[in-house]
Amino acid sequence: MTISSSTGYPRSSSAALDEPVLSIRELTVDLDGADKQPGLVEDVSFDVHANRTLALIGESGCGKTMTAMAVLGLLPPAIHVSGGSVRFDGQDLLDLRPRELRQVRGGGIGMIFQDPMSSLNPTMKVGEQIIEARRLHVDESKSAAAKRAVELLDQVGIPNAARRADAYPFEMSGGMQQRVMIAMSIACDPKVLIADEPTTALDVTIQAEILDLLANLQRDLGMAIMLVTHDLGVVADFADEVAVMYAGHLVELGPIREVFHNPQHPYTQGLLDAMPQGAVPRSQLSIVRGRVPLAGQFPRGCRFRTRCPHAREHCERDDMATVDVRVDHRSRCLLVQTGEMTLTPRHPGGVNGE
Amino acid sequence: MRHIGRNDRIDLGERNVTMRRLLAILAAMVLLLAACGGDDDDAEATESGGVEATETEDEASDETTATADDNEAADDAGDDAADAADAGEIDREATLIYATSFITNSLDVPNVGTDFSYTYVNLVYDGLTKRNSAGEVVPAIAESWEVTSDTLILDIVDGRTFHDGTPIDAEAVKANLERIINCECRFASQLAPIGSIETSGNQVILNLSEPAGTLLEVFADIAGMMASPASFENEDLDTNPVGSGPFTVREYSDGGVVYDRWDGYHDVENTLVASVEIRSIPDDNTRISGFISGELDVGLARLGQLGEAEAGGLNIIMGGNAQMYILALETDNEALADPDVRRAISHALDRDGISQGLYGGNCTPTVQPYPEGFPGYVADATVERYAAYDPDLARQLLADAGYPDGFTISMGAPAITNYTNQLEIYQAQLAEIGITVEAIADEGRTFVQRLSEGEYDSWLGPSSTARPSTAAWWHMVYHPDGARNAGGYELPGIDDLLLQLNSATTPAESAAAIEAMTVASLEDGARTIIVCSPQTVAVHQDNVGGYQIGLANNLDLRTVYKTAG
Amino acid sequence: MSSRLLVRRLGGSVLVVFLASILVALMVHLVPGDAASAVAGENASPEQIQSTRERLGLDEPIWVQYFSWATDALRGDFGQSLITNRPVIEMVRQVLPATLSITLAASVIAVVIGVTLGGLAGLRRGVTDRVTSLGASLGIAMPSFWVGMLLVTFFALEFDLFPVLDYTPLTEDPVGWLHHITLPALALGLGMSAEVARQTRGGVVDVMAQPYIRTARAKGAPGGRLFARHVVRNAAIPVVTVLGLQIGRLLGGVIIIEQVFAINGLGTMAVRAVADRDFPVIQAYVLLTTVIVVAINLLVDLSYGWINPRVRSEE
Repeated sequence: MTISSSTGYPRSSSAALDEPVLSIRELTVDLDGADKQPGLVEDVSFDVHANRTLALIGESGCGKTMTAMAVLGLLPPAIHVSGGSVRFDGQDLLDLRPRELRQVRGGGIGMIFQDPMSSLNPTMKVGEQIIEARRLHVDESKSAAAKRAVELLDQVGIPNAARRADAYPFEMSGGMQQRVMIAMSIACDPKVLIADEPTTALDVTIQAEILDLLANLQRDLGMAIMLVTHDLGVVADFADEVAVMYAGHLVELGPIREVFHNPQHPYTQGLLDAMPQGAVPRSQLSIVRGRVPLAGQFPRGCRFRTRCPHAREHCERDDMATVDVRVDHRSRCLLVQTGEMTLTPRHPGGVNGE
Repeated sequence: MRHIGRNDRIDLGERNVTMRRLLAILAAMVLLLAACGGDDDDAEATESGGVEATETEDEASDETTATADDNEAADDAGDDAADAADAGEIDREATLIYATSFITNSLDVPNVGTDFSYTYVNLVYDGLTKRNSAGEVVPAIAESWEVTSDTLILDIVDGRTFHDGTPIDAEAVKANLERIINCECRFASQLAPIGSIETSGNQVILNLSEPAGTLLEVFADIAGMMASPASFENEDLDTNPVGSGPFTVREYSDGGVVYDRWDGYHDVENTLVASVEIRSIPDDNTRISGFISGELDVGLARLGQLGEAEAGGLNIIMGGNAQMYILALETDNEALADPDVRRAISHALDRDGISQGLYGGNCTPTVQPYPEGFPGYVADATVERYAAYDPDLARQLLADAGYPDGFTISMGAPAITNYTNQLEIYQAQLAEIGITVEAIADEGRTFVQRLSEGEYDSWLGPSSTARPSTAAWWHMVYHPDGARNAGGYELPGIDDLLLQLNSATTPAESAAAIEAMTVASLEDGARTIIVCSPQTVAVHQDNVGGYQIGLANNLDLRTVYKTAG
Repeated sequence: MSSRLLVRRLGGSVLVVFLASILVALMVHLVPGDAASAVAGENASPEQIQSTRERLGLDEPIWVQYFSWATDALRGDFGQSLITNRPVIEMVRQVLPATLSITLAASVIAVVIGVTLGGLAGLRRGVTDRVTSLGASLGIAMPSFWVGMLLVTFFALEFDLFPVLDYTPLTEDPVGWLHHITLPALALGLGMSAEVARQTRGGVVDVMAQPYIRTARAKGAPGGRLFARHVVRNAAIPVVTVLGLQIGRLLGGVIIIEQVFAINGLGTMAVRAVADRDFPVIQAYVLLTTVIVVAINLLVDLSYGWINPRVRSEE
């Protein structure tokens, strides 16, 4: 697997100096109820910048989706934010009143979801759903919105846009449905697009198309994209920055090449080692020993220590933080922070062992 | 006649209404849950007169009207009239709304199914004779008559017509009677003694196969109602009858009948309302609510609704009449064939207790079939004399008769709450003297059928003892061929007694004949035990007057009026 | 709406009515023993029984009986009442408006109350939901006549707001018509509204858990109106289904309500006809109610296609 920009996405490196569009600080989310878990997401901080994509990766249950949902206040009933801030457009979204938050949703910040088939209203025509997205935020007539909807459908690459606007979701393929979702989410020119596993439910070939589309839209609209995914391949092709989450903690954050070549956390290293691409045929795949802990059963201190090959006693300490260990490259591993341990860099440009 | 004055509508009264009604509703819920069988629909009595055993609860009392005794009758009527007339002048243009639980199936005499239809047909037809409030037979279309041993001669009034202008004359009467005799309907049998009919001038001569003076009573009931012969071929006679009565029919439906005053009536000055609506409302609750809310003018209520009626501020009229609750014993059962056994059973029944317990004291204990004031009432045939409540005496009688350990009999009743209650009580009271009763409750039609076929050893129910005639009732229960005498009991001397009654030419002779039969039946240990006579309860609004409860158990609306304001 | 769908459904309905009509026409033969003497009554003479037999056409072959009954029925001729000799069609015409008024009003009440409360319960959950669900259970358990009696006690007798009995035709007196049908329609409709509320709540809860609701929220849609847009059409199918199924309960319940409120309607006619074994009337009544139920269910069926586009294209 290559981490180069072989697909040719232009990236503006100067964007790193821009102010972040979306700024998440010390976000903490608790789970109530029977499986009570404080710190389901704990102390998570990162920024998202215009024109750049931050990928939020991790295994199922690591809290990445909860983090994304928390931004727009879409958490399920038993889960609530208990600390931190989400700054956007000069405001802390967590402090907003419902009416104000509604203006941000679909307006300044758009969101697309994993399963486009069930995420679209089955009894509403596709065009109408886009029109609705428009008119919730923009004061325009139905016919103007309808025109815009057709343009959007065109923009996201749907052929015969005018006719397709009258179709129902079930009359379209998965890929087309996701394009519709995307059209809906960018209908009001958002500054940020949050994409929660947008390609997980799609074929591999369609995945590439959708990612292409997102990249093009980003270039055209200058949006920041927060991409939630568990697929390292997608991250490699598409993201500028990556934030790695494990059991509710942000364990590593940095530019994509840095992280992939020089992981600063045992978990990240384990993930990268576990990728099957480029492995020697008929050799044993490397795995990360153990399983992700369930909510309610997170270990104290470093939540990865029960599976970490390098774990020491003081990994149980409660007072860890994610700090820069290299330039613009943060890690939560205490041992790396203190220099007690250094991780082997991986081969640049490379398939393992080549 | 006891008259309960109206209560002012004070708040307390209204709250009592609500409380009572809530309790009633809760009670209804409990009853519904406890016993799915409830009151039956109106099932029809398929026999003429006698035991209308298939009525709804107290349906009989629906059809009974009563005044205390004939001396007081006129006074009370006057009182009643005076009472309601307080409110103002009679409104001749008023519409009177009468509520009953029953709808007549037809207004054409041969097709009328039950005696309850009387109220409906009585407004449209005049009969050959009629009954006054004291129960006596008085002239109507027949203005006078002569009774002989083999004829009955009627003098027909002059100068009257039917609603369609056809004159009322002897020929018309003959045509009507022949129509009934040949109709293959239940009324035909009531006219059985008539062999042939001739007319002469304005006289109708009925040639009888046997003495039948009591036909005059029959003529006062449905069979004597005269329709216009010109209408006999009409196809819509069931709903558009042509009589000569004070009203014509405007509209017929399953919900009731609407009548309008006929201006050609010979006594139209005394037809005091312009229109009558008889509404059929089978549900007791709904009916009483309709009175309390003021939507109904006059009608009957159940004994059990007295409290509610009072609380609702309704005027109440009560009275007894020729309507009895009976316990009939079939004498083909060996034990019941013994008069002493029958006496014992009568002594075992606590009539006062039954009246108090089931009817709030409003079922007059009695041993004879006619109420005080009615012709034939025997003053010294008292409960104390013939059937004093005395279980010890009863046990003694049984022992002397050879049943020291009692015996077992079956007892049938209609499956209506009122009568199953009686069934339970009789069963319990007979158990006290050692008689085991096997209780059987059957649906209306089934009940009548089974008792006619003698399938019960004994049975209970309501009995209308003066309709269609006194003789008919006595024949039915005390003649071996009687329709309500499956056991074939023969009252000693019944043939002579019936002859005496049918040969009577004056009211006094009739009364004497009835008295004789009453005494004879009691002396032989009455097989049709009379338990008590339920009071009829009528309710009416303040502005309604003239309503009378007649002793003969027929309901007459012709005298009712409404005052303005 | 696909016309093939329409034709198929319509055909199915017609078939059902036809089969029912066979049962109805030959219902007289279901009577044990000799139908003619059962109808003529226990006191009938042999001549009367024979004439009854002829009136009912019982001595014809079965298929002739059905054919003549059916052709007459199609023309609206259901014969005459055996008891009153009135033309049955006249009897029906006389009483139909009352029953229709009450039944329709009850349906409206049921839909309005049921959908509103059920919708609120499904949307709000929490206390509203618990209270509504409890209320719905009670409503389903309470017999309509009991509710009717309660209504009469409070609103008619205690507070004198409504009349106790009877029916006034709309054409005669619109205000009186409304006045008279209010309590009966309430008594009949409240029970049905409970069932509707339950189904609505269930449907709404289901829909609210769907991902597209989350999408709508992510678009910035406010709770009220826009949710109504998203929820209603998707939750409608179970609700419409239960409405169609309840029509049978309504037609049965109206009989009791007519007794309680002394309303001269179809139910009163039917009860009398059954008690009197008045076959022509019973036949007309059964056929009429069959047609009504089938028609309502057909409408419900057809409405699915209108509500949910997926159903349309599956045809």
